[in-house]
Amino acid sequence: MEVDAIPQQTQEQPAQIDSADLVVGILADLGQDGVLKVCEGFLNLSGSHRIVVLQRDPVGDPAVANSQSAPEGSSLSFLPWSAAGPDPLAAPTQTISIACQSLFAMTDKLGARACCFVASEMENATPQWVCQLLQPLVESDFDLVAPYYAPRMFQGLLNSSIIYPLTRCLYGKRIHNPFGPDVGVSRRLAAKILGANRSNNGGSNQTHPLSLLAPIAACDNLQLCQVHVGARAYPPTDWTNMSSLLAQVLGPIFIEMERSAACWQRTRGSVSVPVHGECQDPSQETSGLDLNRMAETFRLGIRDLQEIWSLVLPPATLFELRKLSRSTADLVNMPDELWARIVYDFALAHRLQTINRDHLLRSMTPLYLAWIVSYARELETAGPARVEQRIEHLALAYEAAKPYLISRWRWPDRFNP
Amino acid sequence: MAKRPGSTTDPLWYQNAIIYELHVRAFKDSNADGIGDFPGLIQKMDYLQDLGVTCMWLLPFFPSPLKDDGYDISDYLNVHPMYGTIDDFRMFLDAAHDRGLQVMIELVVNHTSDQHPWFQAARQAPLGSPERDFYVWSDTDQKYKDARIIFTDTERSNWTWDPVAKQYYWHRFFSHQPDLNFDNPRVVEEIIKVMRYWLDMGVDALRVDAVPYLVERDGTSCENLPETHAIVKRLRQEIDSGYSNRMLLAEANQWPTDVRPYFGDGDEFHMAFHFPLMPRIYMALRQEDRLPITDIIAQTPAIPDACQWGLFLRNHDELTLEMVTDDERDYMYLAYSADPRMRINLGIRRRLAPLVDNNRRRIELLNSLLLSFPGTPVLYYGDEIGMGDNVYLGDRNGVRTPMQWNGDRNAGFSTATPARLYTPVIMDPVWGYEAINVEAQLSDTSSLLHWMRNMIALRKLFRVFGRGTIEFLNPANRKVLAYLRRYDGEQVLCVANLSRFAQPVDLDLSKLEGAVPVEMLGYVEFPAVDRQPYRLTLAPYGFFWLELQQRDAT
Repeated sequence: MEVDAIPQQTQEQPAQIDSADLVVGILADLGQDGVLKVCEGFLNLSGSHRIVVLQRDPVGDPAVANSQSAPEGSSLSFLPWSAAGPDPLAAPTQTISIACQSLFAMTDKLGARACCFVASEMENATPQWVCQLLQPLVESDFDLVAPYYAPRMFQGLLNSSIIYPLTRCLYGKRIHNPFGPDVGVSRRLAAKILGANRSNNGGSNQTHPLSLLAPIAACDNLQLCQVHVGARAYPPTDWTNMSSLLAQVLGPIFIEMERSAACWQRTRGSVSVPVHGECQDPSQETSGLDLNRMAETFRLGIRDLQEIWSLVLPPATLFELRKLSRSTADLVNMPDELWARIVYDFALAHRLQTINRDHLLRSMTPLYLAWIVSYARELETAGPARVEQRIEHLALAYEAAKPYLISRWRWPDRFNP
Repeated sequence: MAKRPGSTTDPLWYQNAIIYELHVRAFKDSNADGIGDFPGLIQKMDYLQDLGVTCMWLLPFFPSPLKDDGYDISDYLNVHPMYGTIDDFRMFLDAAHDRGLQVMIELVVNHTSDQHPWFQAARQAPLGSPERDFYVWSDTDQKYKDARIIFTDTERSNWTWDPVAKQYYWHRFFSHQPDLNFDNPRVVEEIIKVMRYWLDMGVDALRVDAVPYLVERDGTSCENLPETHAIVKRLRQEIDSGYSNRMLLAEANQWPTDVRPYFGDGDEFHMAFHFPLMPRIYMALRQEDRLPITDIIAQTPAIPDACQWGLFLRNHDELTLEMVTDDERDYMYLAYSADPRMRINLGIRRRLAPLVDNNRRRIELLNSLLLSFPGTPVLYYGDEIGMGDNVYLGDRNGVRTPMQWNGDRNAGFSTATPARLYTPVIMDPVWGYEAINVEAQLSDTSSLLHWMRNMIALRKLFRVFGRGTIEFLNPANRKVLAYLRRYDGEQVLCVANLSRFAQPVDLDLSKLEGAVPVEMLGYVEFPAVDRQPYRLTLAPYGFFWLELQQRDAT
């Protein structure tokens, strides 16, 4: 049991809650009504379950909640959750990391069969959406239930450009949102993540529990599925702080790549993962992105970050980037093959610690923005129906470039073309 | 002292380990006295972690008169002040475990130093007393006449007269190393206490020195006797009942069939060195013929699943030629030690790189064999940068010179006045520390060090090397050694050219039809296997590691 991962306040709970069947951690600010709606959804679970709900501000009267929401024979308990950790100013990814860690630890401590992490607000959510993350765990013995958010043209770009295609290529499973954050996890998987986190953090590697979900589940041949949960209400992107976000998100992913190298280097191609629920079509959006500014940032990067990039990227890539930077003011057309190789080269440089890791990942920002410009320009004219097709094309490019990654990983010789 | 748990959770960790043998004295000096020490070793542990090794094997660091470089122990439960204190050792152990490195130390139990209090008491104790019986005494030097002399260069007999005891005492090694009497249960108890002392501290493994010679009986060779195995079983029982995830390694320089009993039924040693394989690797290279290797592997019996061979190219001793025929020994002397100064006892006291004339391709080839043969590889310190040796130093000291860290004074090993070093650094233009050192090789991506690092990392990605079976293919071209390694769905084809000239080879891979060989270093696909002989061409001393993948994706 990872006692340290469970915040003190949560530990000091009525002694009667010493076991549960399911634990639900609600980090999202759903409000009282929202939480009650979520609990109503538990009525759809077959069988009776003792459910513990962790939330920041507990529902007013647990007894009321119990009588209204719990299926017969089930029970609902609410516990306050200081999931933010000791630093109220912690970055969102850090907050989610700490919250996940404590949720998994609580699941293990209570001997619960499974748990579910709720960090998002959904647009037009039905009460069932959280329950949908639990159902496969309870009824079909899955270990990981990942969310399949309705595709958005200009939201979740970090997932579309890197997290999804990279995870798919490495571990061979087409999980569209491997980083959640809304996920259902079996106790078996939660325990493995706690163990992996312990060994990584013993070596002072900063890991994120969510970054371990897909890799561990895939490498250990656990049961995976996805669930259509509707359209996620993405938090607004702080573009001024993009480099911090990149570092916080990619760091744990690259660290996990190091740890699981023996697994992903043997995986070839990818397979679909079962999907439950009904898909929601993407809606038309305007990008709202300042593409000119992003293109300009990319050109500044070419000028100012050449020295750093030359430690990471081979000459052929640097040459192609230079050609891209010379294109007309707002048009940057980055081929998928080039982008995939760039991500792989940064992953390798992260492993080799060619330069300070945080510095390295931040230096990737102009390249990421160049990809966004390229992608947004294409979809602005193509329309929302093209989103999934576009991402599929990118994912295939990652898979095609995997031999490049493996050969460079195994022999990181600087004498590359 | 409270018992500390093992540092690893995998009971078979040693099957996937990469062991690095080093001498504390030779690694890094932290206090400028010219002698390496534990604080210095701690300073260099990041280097070892970065190299990718997973277990450090330390040569003896116990109090000793140092007439045999520490293998003559006068106190089993302490650290020689030259190397630090027992607390320094504990800090080193913690630092190793924090980095995920296991630690193996020596258990030199066949003999002690004649300065050990046990021996000092024994020689003065009355005949037949418990103290006297700690060692093996005789009124004459005629007992155990069939036992060979091991240190033939210096010893004329396995018996030496002690004027104080007024009897002969038995010693299989130097005369200042009297053999303990393992027929005495008190000796066994004391050894168990020693074992427990270090295991309680958290040490992961014990290399038991000179195992075959523990017990002697008249009319026998005094090697590998059943009573020796009984003692080993006892030691193993102590470990299994009191500790988890530890390992016992046998140093038994014997033919494979004679080493096999030391694994017992999985109730004796976890590991044993494969001594006979090592000189045959060099023989095969020089003769450009795979037969010495395939022949000795064919003679190697199967061992229990939880056991493992320890493989090595070189170590702190001479390249031993005990387990070869007389003709083979003569050939090896001609091939590898034209200068008689290079020979000692029944072996050759040279490092890996000088043995192969500093030829980078030969060094890589031999290491590729070491890393892909069935067993756990043991690397000797300095060989990862191709260090040279000094044949003008006595005994085996020529291969125990200070580690060469950089081109600064004393090779960065010590800031002491050079004359104060325990032994001079290598300083000629070819092998000297200014030419061969860690710092230079770290900054050179084409260096041997980088190559070793990459190969070790690659080996660690595949369990087949440590745990898999081996099947030799026997192509018509005997200059090519080809073998299949298999484990749990992993299949790797290793092909090595033992010749200084490029070689073609046709391999019968028909039973693997449909497999796609992928060269593992560069991840390059080779043509798929079909029913026809699979033709490869190898550069001089070239080798391939080919992962055999199935055509359909996962």
